[in-house]
Formats: sequence, structure tokens, C-alpha cells
Amino acid sequence: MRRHPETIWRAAPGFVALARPGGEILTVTGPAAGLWELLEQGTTPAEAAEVLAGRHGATVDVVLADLEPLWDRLRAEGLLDG
Amino acid sequence: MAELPALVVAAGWGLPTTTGSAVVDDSDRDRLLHGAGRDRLGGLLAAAVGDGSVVVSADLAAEVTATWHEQLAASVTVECLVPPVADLLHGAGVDWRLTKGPALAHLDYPDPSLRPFGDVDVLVRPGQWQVALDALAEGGWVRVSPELAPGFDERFGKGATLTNAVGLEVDAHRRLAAGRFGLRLDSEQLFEDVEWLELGGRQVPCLAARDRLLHACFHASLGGARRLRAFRDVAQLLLMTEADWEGAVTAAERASVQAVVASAVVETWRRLGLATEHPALDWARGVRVGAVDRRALRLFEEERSYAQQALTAVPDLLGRGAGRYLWALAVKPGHRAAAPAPPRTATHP
Repeated sequence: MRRHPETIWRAAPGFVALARPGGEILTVTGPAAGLWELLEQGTTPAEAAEVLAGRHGATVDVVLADLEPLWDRLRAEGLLDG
Repeated sequence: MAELPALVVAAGWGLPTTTGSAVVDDSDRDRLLHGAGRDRLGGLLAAAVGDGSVVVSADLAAEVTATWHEQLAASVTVECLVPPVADLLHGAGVDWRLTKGPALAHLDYPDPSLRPFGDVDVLVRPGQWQVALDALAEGGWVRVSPELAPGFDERFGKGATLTNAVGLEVDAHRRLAAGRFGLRLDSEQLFEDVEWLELGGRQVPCLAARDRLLHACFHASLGGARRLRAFRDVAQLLLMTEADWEGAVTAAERASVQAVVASAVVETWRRLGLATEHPALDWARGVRVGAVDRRALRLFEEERSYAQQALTAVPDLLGRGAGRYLWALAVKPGHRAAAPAPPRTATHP
């Protein structure tokens, strides 16, 4: 999965705001905001969970579960490619 | 009221040799947050708080961060307007340039998050104004104020503010300013060059760096509130980018608007407390501004009415449409049916 090229976004530490033209704006705060950075090069839910778990000292399973709603939302808003 | 020192520090954050640091106590909390919100300085203020240039309590630091985040979300909302506006204008064959907010944020700041904005500004090529407005109207963009008279915008005007169904704004510019200086600078020359920005999957044409600097100077000198961020944009282009400032000066001198650029540069150094030397500052300090230009600049500085600002163009229009111009300024749109016919003068086209 990667960022959809039509996505408009702004990031700050622990924060990202993103939208497609005509779509709903999505704001993400906290450790999950790091997912958008990983999506620049492309990642999968499992890979992202592993990186973010290592970054924040959490277990991969917990992060994987925590990120699931965000993945769903990113897909629903058409913010992902692939 | 004097500018809050912390806002000056924030506006100069990351520039060479700006004011060192400032401490904000709780009594200045509201001024800080209001100023950062009004001037959309959230990114620079958060950066200044982050590196200790602006010292605030932990609670206030969190509020600064929240202000920045709000501005970033607003920037995304506004920037999402650019691709559909680009599609409308391209679809109608209009030559145009994105300028100010999104163009500066992406092309002139190291991170667009440092430079939030609240609207979209587009410059339309001379001769294509009505085609552009018709195209935008097809896309649901509604003009806020009617044109003063048929053909006024193309011949004399600065432009028009358009809003969509949810109240978001696009400022369509025919010129960089109203009045004397806007009319002197032929917008056609701003289309000699272009820089492309990929935005929302589209290639969007932006003013070239030299012309972004010109526009930033026009905004800083003539744009109204003359707030810190306008001067930061001038400083950013001069001190932190490769923008061709000498080219901007040459263009300004050719159009006899060097007073605007010189005023913006001198004021940028004063307002941001810059100590660094720059040849543009040397040039600006040496510009001799005539009495009429000085009076015109003051009218803009004092945020006088549109009509007063527009009247600064009259001396330049004598023999070139001054009668029609004055007539349009004097008669409110909608009252024309009952008004007598405009005076016939030799200046009519």
C-alpha cells in the first residue's frame, strides 16, 4: 500500500491531516500518525505494525489491532493506492 | 499596539540573525494565541516553542500545538480546492498561475507545514479574465461582490473573491493590487515564466520565484493588514531561497513600482528585527520614493477604503480612461439603471 497520489496532506510530529479533493478530511494524532510517513515508500499492515511497535515499545499484535480502524478509514476515503 | 515579541521571534524563526528569544507569561496567552491564529503563524510559533526560542508554559505549548494542527487541517481543506479549480481553468483553456499560500508553502518553505494558509489565490492572464470567471462559475464558484462596471476588472481591477457552497474562498487576481501600483505592473510579464507544482495528482502552474517575490512584496506593502507573515514571506524568498531578487527589482523598476518592493524590503527588516545584510536591502534603502507614490503607499498602509486606494491610479489614467474609471468607482453596481449615462470624454476607448 502507498499514498494515493491525489491525496493532499500536512504532517507535524504526532499529527497528520489528509484528504482527497471532494472527500472528507481525516486527522490522525499520536503514534498512528507515523503510518502516513511509512506509506510514502509503501508498506503493509504487518510491516507498519512492526515498525511502529518497535518505535513506541509496544507489541506488534496490539499495534496491528490498533491500526486496523485507521487502515479501514484510509481505504474508505480513497487515500491509499494499491 | 506593539507586536508581541514572541510573535516577532516566531515570524523570524529559522531566518539568519533574527531576534533571539522571548518569554510569554500567562497574561499574554490570549494575545499570543490570537496573533498566531489570525496571522496563521502556528507552524513557525510551534517550531520556536520547540527549540526554546519562545518560552511558554507546558499548557500554553499544548495550545500552540493545537492551534498549529487546526491550521494544518484548514490548509488541507483549502488546498483540496486547487485540483478542481485547476481542472476548471485548464478545461476552459485559461492560462493562470497559482500564487501566495499553497505556492509559497510548497516551493519556498522547507516544509509546507510551516506555512499554513486560508484561501487559494490564482492569477489569470490578461485577456482571459471573463473566460476564467465563467469557468469557475460553471464549477459552482460565486462572486462575492459584483464587478463595478462591465469590463472594469479586465481593464482596471485587482480581481474578485469567489466562494463555494461551503464558504471556502478562491481569490482570482487580474492584477497584484488595486490602484496605482497594480495598474502599472503589466500582469502579462508574470506569465513569461512558470514553475510547476504537483498537487493532488495534477501539475499546477505557479508564478516563478522572481514573481512570487514580487507578489509577496505587493502583499506586504499593499495587502492591507501588513501582518508579520507577509513580511516573513518576503524574508523567506530573499534569504532562504534562490529567488532572483535582482530580476524582481528590474521588473519593478521597469513598471515604476520599485517603491512597493523597496518599502516591503525595508519594512521586512524592521518588522522582523533582521540584522543580516543583503544587497536587496542596500538597494531598497537607496530607492528615492516620490511624494505621490509615498502618499499612495500610506493609503494602503493605513488600510483606507477600496475607493481611496483605487483613486491612487487616477493620475496614471489621465488620458487613458480616467473618466470611465472614476465613473465606475462612483456608481454602485445595481444603481446603474437609474443613473445618468457616463460622461463622454476623449479618454473613452
